[in-house]
Amino acid sequence: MKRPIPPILSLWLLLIVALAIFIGISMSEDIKIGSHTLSKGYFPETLFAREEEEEPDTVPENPVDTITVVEVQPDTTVHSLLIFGDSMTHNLSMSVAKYGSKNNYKVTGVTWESSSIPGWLHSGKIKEYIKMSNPDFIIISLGSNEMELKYFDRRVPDIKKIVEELDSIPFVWVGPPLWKEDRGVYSMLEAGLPNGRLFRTENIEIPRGPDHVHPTRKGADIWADTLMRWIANSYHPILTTPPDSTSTLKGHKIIYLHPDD
Amino acid sequence: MDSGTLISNIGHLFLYDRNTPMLFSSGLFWFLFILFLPVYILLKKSKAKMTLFVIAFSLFFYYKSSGLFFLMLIATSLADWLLSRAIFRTKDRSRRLALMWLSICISLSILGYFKYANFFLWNWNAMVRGNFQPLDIILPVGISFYTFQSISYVVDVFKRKITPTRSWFDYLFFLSFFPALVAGPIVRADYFLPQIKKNLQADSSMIWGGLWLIIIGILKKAVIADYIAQYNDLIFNDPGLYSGVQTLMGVVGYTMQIYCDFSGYSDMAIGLALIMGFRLATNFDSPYQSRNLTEFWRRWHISLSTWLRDYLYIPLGGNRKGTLRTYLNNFLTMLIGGLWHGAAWKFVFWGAMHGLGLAIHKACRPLLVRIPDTPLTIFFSWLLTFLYVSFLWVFFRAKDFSDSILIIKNIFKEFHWWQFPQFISARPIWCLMMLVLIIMHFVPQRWADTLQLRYAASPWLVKLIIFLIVVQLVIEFMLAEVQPFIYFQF
Repeated sequence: MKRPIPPILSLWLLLIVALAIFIGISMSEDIKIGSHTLSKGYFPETLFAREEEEEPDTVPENPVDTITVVEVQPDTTVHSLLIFGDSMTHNLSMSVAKYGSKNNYKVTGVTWESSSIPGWLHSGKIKEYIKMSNPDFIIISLGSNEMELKYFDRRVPDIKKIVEELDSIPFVWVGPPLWKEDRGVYSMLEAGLPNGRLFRTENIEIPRGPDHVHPTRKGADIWADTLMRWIANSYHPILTTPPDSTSTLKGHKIIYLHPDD
Repeated sequence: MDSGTLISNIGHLFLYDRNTPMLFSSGLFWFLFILFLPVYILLKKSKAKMTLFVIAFSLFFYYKSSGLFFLMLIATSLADWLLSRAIFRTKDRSRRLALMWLSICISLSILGYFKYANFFLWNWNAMVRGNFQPLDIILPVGISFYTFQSISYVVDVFKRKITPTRSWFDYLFFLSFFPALVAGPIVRADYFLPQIKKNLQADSSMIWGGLWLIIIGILKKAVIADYIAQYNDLIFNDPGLYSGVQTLMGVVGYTMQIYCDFSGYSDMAIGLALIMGFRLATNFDSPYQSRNLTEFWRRWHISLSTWLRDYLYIPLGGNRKGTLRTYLNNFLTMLIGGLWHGAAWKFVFWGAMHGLGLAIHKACRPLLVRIPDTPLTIFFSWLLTFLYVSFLWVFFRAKDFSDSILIIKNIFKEFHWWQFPQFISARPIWCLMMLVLIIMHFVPQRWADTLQLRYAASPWLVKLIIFLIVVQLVIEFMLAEVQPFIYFQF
């Protein structure tokens, strides 16, 4: 008669099979169940990620300084600009839309309240809105909901994956307007982004709303002005003539998503 | 694929990293447990080899959480063991008493230094208006738990309730047993040491029952607690920003979060021990079903409340020295229980308020027993208990008293009923989680037992699928970081 496997061995087998399945999933292509893409464990990042080599001290903090050595002409072919991000984005996207009116590009602004970097990465929304707006330039405004993280470095692979999702469309990432002490969010963004893509929203006096967190419309205008001046000198400048009283939101698309959308 | 990088990264996983303590809900722990299990099975037949192997694994587990403090655990256990042997051998009562106090003083001094030194220095400097410079002290993980275990062991040896272990390794096994090492339950020697001696093989019901408890624990901790914590943290970190309804939901959310977090951890600890053939006592028994505060403390963190009863409340005189003294003993026990949770006045206040509540309940008991049990009285006594416990959690969780007061004020000042539908539509998953949790909490115990038996009796493939679903749920809900267990810090 066949002897049954002892339960403890049977449990061990169960754990091994489960581990093998999760390692397999983490190394495979995305698996979809309906419209949902299965999230993966961190096995490849944990086992195969190389430690980042420290950059030499001579590299300046602001990459613009190195890039502006050769003057780059603004890209005048931009006809569609996508700006997406968390709740900080809403007023900013309207301010950027006014730049769109002045400089003849259509702006699609997508604000997803309470959203985070992995939220955007795993929801499929980036691809969805790229497909919808077909942008030539992208502005990402994410990071303010990551300020409470304890282990910032674990978000770095997600930032890199978001960059991959953009599929070589020129972009800039707008760092969050800090409303409390930065414990590592900017270091995290720097670690995940290629040089010259991070706009640091620091040392800008931005008027904030009654919650003391989100910029007011006027605050967002100031923020957008600084951002656009920076983009004009960045690795991929676009037309950034400041808007005037004739610049409106007409023709642009401003989308607001709730946390559980 | 670079084999050098792979080897280097695997090597890093085995080193202490202060930012990534090894938790039962982490992938690394399960990877190591898979390596641990076959060796454990092979060595189980020999008690001595099994003991040494489990000690080595437990110390490594502690090293991963607290670095070189594992050496202190070894040293403490050796001192306690030698003193307990001396207590046992000595006939003279006063010498035995002196030895017992010596052991207790050593344990409490270590705990006092690491946990309370800065607290006392801060208070001292505040009194003398000095310039307070905090000492650079790192709190070893789980020190409060194993200190209480070692004290109860020495006291029990003194009272001749137990005989000290012949071998130091048996005692070190008891003190460092990894499932209960960093966040309890607080294991009692009279319950656990006989199990080491017997070294029983886990049977099928223990193994699959253990896995079931682990599944439930993972669901509670890594899915529910970590998810609802994201919202609760917003409320407690910036209390002035939110409406009354949002704040109230944050408080109720934290009430459920701390239960899921801690009881989930206990479930995993008990489950792991069961798989290894050891039984740990129940630590939580649906505490939010309680209809009064006395019942709450019989159901919440049972291993701590029974420890406080046996080693503090009863030695203080318990209920043997008159009514007033009983209330005072109750109050003092809870006050110290509060301080055990953390070196801050907010924990002292939290403990004192529980002590006060217990004393009031005891004083009112002659009146309360006269009230007949009707659905209405049952509901109101439950509601009163739940609200009082939740109210006190505000002081426990908030950064300081001023934040606590702000949160409570906010609930009353900024409260509008019409905000509830808005809240539900804005955070449906959070609300759904809370609903599921409340239902789970009020499910009769026999239903839970039946589910556990059904899982144990189900085919292997079904067990695997359920396990896979739960782990995938964890990955889906996982923050990019592991939230430390709330009780880790104690």
